[in-house]
Amino acid sequence: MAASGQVVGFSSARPPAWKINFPPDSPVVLVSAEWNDSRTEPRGGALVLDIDSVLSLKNASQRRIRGLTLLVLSQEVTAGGKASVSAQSLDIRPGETFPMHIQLRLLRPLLPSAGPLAQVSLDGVLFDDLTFYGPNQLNSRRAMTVWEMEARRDRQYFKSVLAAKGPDGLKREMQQTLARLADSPHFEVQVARARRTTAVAEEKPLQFAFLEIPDSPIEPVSGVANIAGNEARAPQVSVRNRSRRTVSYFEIGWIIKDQQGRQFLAGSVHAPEAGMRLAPGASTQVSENAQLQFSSEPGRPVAINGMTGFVSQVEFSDGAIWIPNRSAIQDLVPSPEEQRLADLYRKKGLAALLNELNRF
Amino acid sequence: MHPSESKLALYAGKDLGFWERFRISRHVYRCERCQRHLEELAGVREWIGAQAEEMPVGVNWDNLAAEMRANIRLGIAAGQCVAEPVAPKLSLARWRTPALVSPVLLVMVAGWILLSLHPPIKPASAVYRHDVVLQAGAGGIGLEKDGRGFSLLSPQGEGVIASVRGETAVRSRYVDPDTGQMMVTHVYAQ
Repeated sequence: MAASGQVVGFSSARPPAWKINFPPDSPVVLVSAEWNDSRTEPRGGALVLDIDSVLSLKNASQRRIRGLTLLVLSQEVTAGGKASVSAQSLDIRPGETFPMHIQLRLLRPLLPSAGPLAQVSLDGVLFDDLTFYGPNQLNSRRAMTVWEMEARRDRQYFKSVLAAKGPDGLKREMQQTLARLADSPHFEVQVARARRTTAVAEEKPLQFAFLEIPDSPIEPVSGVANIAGNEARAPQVSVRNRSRRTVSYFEIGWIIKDQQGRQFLAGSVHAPEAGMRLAPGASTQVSENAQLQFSSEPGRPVAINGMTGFVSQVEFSDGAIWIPNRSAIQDLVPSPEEQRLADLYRKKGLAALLNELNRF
Repeated sequence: MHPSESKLALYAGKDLGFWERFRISRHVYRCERCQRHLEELAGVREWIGAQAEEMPVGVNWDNLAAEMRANIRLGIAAGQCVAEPVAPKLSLARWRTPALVSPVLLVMVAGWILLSLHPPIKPASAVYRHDVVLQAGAGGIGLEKDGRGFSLLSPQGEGVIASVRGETAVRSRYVDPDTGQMMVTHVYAQ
C-alpha cells in the first residue's frame, strides 16, 4: 500500500510537528490540520512539547464510516513506542468532513531536531457493514468491530427501554449510568514488563472470581495473580473452549476491588494477538509477564483486596466475533457507547439522546 | 489499707497472680471505695471491648495490650517517683488511674480511626529493573524510558477511564468534550 505524505507544523521556522501519511487509496483524506495551544516548555535537561491538534478528515468513500483508528509514531522520542487514537460510534456519511482531536505530549532531550516529531498514519477504517480498510498493524479491525458490536447492542437496549417504559424510563436509565460513572473511582496504574531483582516477602497469590456468562464460548477455569499491597504481578488465567468452533483470540476483563469495596476496571488479560488456534474442548493458559501498581489520583497506593474476571470478547478462526450480552455485564463498568450516550444526555438533554438513537 | 492504684488496675484486667488477686478480692468485697474504683475500670474495659469489635484486622492487639499494661506500670511508677511526698486527696486519687489510662486509650482510638480512614498500605518493596514504564490515569496515558516520554493526553474532567491491556499497552477512553466523539487511545511499548 503506497503512502502519500503531508508534513504540517507550527511555523516554517520550526521543525515540522507532524508528518501525516495516508495511503493514496485511503477512504479518508486529510482536509486540514489546526494547532490549538501547542507549546514548548523546558523542564530540566529536557523539553516538553504539548501538541494539541484537530485534524479535519473527509470520508472519500461511498459507505458510512463507523470507526477510525490513527497510528501515532514518535521514533525520535521513544524508539519502538507507538500510540493509537480511535474514534468510534461514528456515523460519517460519504463526502462528510469530521474532526479528529489529538493531544500529544512529548518529553525529549533539548537537542535540536530536524525531522517531524510525530508521524500519523491510518491503521484502519470500519464501515457500517462491518467491512474494514487499512493496514491493521495494531489489530484495529478486531477492536473496532468489537466496539461497534457493543455500541449496537447498547443502542438496541436503550431503544427497547424507550419502547417499553417511555422517555421517563430512558431518562432513569441514563441517570443510573451517570451515577455509576460518577461513583467509579479514578485510579492511576503503572505497568512494566519487569525482571525482579529482589523478592517481595509479603507477596501472596490471589485467585480471580469469574463472572459466569452462560453463552460465552470460552469458560475461565482458574486465574491467579501475585499480590503485594498495591501491586499485582504476573496474572495468569486458564480457559477452556466450550464452543464448537475454533477460537483464535479472547480477552478476559479484569476488575479489581480495593479495601473499601470499590471496584474499577484494571484492564484485560488476553490471548496472543496472532497464532492461537484453540480447538473445541481444548484448554489453554494465558499469562502476562507484567507488574502493575495501582494508586489513587493523589498518588496514594491502593491495596488490592479482590479480583473479578469476565470474558469480554472472543474471536473465532473464521473472523466472527462474540461479545457478552448486556444483562451479563450490566453491573460492571459502563460500555463506551453507554458512556457516550449518557454524556450526550447530560450535556444536551433527552431530545438530543432520542435524536441520536434514531440516527442509527 | 487500700491496694495501690496499679494493683487495682491490674486486678481489673485479671493480670495479677493468684495470691495477690485473692488478697485484693477480699479487700474489695468489704471496701466501697475500691468497689467504685473497680466499676469505673470495668466501664472503661467494656468500652474498649465494644470498640475492639469494630477494629480493623491485621493489628496485633496482643502486643498492643502488653504494651499498654507495661505503660500503666511504667506510668504509675514514674508518677510515684516525681510525686510530692504528701498524701493525695481522696477525690484526686480516685481519678488518677483514669487519668493515666485515658491518654493511652485516646492514642489507641485516634490510631484506630486513622487506620480505618487511611489504611497504611505499603507500596510493594520489590526492586525492579524496568526497560519501559507505561502509565495510565485520568490525565492521559504514556510511556517513559531513559528520560524520554510520549503521552496521549485526555481532556480535563471526569469520565476518563484508563486501564491496562496486557503487558505492553495502556488504554484510555473518554468522550471528547468538543466533538462528542467516543475516543479510545492506546500507548504501546514494544
